[in-house]
Amino acid sequence: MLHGIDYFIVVAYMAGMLGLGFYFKKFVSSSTDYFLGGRSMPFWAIAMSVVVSDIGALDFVGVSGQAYRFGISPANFDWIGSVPAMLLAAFIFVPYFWKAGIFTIPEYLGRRYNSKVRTLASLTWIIFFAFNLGVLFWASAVFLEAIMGWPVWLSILLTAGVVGIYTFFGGITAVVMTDVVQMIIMFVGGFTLVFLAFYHVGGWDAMVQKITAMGPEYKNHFELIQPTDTPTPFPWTGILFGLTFVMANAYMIGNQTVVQRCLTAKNEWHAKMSMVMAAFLKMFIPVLVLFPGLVAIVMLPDLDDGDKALPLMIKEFLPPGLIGLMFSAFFAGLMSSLDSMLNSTATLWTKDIYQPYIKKDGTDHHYLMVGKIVTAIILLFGIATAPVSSSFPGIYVAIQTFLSFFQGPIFALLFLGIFWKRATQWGGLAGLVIGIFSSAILHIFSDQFFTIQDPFLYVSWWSFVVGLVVTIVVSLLTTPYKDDKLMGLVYRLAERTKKAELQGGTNA
Amino acid sequence: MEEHAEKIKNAQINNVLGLFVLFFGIVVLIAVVFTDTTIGKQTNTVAGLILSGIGVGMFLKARKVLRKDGST
Repeated sequence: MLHGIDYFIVVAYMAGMLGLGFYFKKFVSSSTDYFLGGRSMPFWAIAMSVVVSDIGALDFVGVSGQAYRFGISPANFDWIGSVPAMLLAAFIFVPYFWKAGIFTIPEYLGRRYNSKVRTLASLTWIIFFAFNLGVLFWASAVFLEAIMGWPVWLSILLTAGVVGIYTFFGGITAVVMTDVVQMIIMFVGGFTLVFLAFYHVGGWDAMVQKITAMGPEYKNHFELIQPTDTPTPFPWTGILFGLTFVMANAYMIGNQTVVQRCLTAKNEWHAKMSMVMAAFLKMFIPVLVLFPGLVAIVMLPDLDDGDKALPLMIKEFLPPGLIGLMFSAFFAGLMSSLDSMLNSTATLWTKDIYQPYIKKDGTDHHYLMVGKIVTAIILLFGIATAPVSSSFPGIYVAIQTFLSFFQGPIFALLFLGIFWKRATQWGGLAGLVIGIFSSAILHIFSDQFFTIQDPFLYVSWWSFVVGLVVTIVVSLLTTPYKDDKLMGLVYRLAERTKKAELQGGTNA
Repeated sequence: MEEHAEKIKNAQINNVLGLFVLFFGIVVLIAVVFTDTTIGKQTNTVAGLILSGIGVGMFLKARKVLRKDGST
């Protein structure tokens, strides 16, 4: 039950976010300001923004629910998945993206391969983000219904209104800087809940003992590495191949919402360091999102839906004031994910679709206005499609399933694009199309291909392999670009070319 | 010149964000009054102080930059 002061905190938080959105309006005078924050952001703000937009409402509700059902194995998503991928992004990919002066990841793919690849990749992301918004809205509704009994549509409209306004006016500056506040509140609220949860359950050892004593179905709850025949969606083979090799890299290197933040950095060093710091912060995320779900197994053992574990833990154990703060933290997670998708979708549409195909010679102000209008349209679409996600059993798995369709093939193209100069435009196009098609086939016939439930990790791995092999084979059969066209797009190509020229000169 | 403008912009943003976080810190500290349990009071106090500390830190750092560079 919320107290008066909790309501006050939530309302103040919402009002504050709106106020910040209006305040950040003064920093937006061009499309570069709106989409890339004028390329002036410091690394620490970007790092916090990357982390908080990734943790999101899905992690708060969904991963706590996963922990309630499956134990600690979802922690692999951060510890084994995200952290190595973020370091790879920081030292290899992000510097090239930043130096290329691009707005979007498909724009890089367009320069490296061709405009068809760019358009296809961009449209895929736009469709994904548009539907993902609906899933996020639904996550908020589940939470609010459990803790307050609010009608679903009320919470959806409230969240959409606040996020829509500050993103519409402030662009990515508002997105990144509100994320800073959101991360501070989320971490303070989250760690407080973890502390109180352990206080009530008697500490880590007592919790492990109590859960283990609950029955044989809990014997693997504290195994980070699950066997291949695990009933969970996280067998070690899927984690290693699907998550560590593909999905985590695809997310941190190929996801527009993540990379766009790094592109707002004031210089290359800040772009790199933003990912390094984000990787450090990311290591704390499982503590925040998993532990409350684990404690809930002992304290609230008869829940019909694991996704209700976190809301009910907050309701049961936090004191007045902190309930409001944690409630705001949930909104923070939700809003940071929503604002990222809104701004990234607007960027993708304006830069990859509208500017090249619909109006090439528009003024900068025109593209700024297009970005704002698209933000509003996508928001309305997300509200309208929210009920779709209710047909999936677990919110988090639903989103991973959507992601696994194209993350693998797009990462295959990015990987080959930056490391293999022989990759050709037609190889890239074939790899992307056939890779996505293979994902769809694997998902539709998953019962026949896989023995576990929700095999999204395997789907992403095999679609990556298909995309990689097809791109290589078709590239070897087609003509590559000359080196000058690939300068700044392929890893150390300039250095290698210079070295080859020097060696040629010496030999001559 | 551009670097200077960026510095001012970031300081202005931190100024506002610092105040915002400080506000929440103070509200959480006030919530101690409405808390019944000792552990609840302690938790609210610590969380409120952490938030207030972060807010004050951001605010003071931003003011320092604005005082030093804002008028140039």
